Amino acid sequence: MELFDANCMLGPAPARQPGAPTTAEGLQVELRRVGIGRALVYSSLAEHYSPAEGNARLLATVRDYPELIPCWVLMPLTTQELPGAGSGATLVDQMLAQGVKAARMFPTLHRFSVRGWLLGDLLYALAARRVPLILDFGNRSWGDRFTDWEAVRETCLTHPHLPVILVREGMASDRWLYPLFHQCPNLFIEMSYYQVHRGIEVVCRRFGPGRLLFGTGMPIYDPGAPISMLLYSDVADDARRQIGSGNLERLLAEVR
Amino acid sequence: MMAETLLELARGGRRLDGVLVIDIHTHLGPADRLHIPLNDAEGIVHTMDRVGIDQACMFAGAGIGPDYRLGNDLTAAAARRYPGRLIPFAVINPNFPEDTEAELERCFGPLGMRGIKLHTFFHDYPADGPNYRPVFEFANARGLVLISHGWGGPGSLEQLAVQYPNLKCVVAHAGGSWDGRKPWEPIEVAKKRDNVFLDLALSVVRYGALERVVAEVGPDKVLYGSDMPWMDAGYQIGRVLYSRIPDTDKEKILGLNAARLLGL
Repeated sequence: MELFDANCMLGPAPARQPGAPTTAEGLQVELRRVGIGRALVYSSLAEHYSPAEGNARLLATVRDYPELIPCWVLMPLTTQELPGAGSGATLVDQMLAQGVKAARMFPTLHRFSVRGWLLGDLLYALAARRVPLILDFGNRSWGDRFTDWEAVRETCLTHPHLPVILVREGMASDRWLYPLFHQCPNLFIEMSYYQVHRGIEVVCRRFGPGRLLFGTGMPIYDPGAPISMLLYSDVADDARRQIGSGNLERLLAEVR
Repeated sequence: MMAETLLELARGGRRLDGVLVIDIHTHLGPADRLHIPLNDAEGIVHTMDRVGIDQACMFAGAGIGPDYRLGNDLTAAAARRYPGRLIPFAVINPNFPEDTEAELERCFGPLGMRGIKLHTFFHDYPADGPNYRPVFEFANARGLVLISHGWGGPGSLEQLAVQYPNLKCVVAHAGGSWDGRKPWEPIEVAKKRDNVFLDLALSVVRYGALERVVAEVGPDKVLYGSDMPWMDAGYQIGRVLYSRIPDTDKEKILGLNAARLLGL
């Protein structure tokens, strides 16, 4: 069964885990070791230094690695830290022209909110082209409560054609997630930290397998755990395949 | 010798038949702060059967929460329902010191408990506090396994390990929260003391953490635990199965170490 990792960082990290891969080659080796066929990767420089710098370097870095699919890190355009992006539409055009079909934001780390009044036309531009938007609120453990649920709901309802993917939601998220899954068909979660007991099985039963995306959080987090949870989950093989790769493939294929 | 490696079994999502797996750290029932589906004994044993977990040491959520007597009753009932699969552990709440002795007798008498679980965080009391002394004395006299979420101040874990040499101290949630870069007391104590062990149950699973812990304390000191159903056992066991350590070490961690400690 192919695995397509929706949540993978490429490059060195400020607090690098000892032995964690920091290059495309090193990441490729580890992906192959654990049986992951492809990974949507964002630049560690884009997260921890400058999205403009990191996004630009990413494309050159992954050029020779077809299994590493680039994802750009975005932030509000008003501070003009993403050069040449005079508007959301211009930025999204640039992304797609360079083969980048997914966007990621770090609202907590980068100090902004996922609100329409703040992001302006960027959300409209992403939604118009159906570009999946991955939101990383910086939760490390289930005790963290950085996710701005109100903003997530507002974004999903205002932009029903924008796929919104939350990363690193976990055991304490369900009382927020379940009502949002009901209200927002365009909300998805990546499952690197979603270790709710039999959570995959229950979400599939309640909402279908289309809301979950396989992800690991490598190379910060251990890939074996989410892989194992998916493979041991008590769901039909077709559901497992959808979660393992099919859902992310579909979202990327729907980009206009 | 197994025909396939444990990694190969895991990559195929196949049950761990032929491998002894004992989950040293599981709960039972719901929790206040989490949604835990299928959290009864039946739901937990279902997970155990899918993965191939032979036995699980269990301590009910009600016990680490508000009502230790209810929790111990629920744990014992679950173990009676699934004999040979669920190994009941007693939870003692130090905030009820007037009942400690009686509850220990009840748990290790008619309720048939096999070990002790302490929760210094939820019960808001340090392991080296005076109210826990009768528990350590009791456990030491019987050579029991005692798993504790949290200990006391710096030095308390080693002090307790030295003071109670027959006790098998298991540091809960320890085999992975170490970031591998800074000194960490449980690692240092587990290296020095024969009766200190680390369980792996931890939600934040850092890349390479398990390998580093094993390199530091050795494979005989690390115990697979999942915190099921607070966390999914299929998730937690992946850390061991996919780790870059020999299968002989994985087998120790998965079950042989726990069997040795529990006298199984």
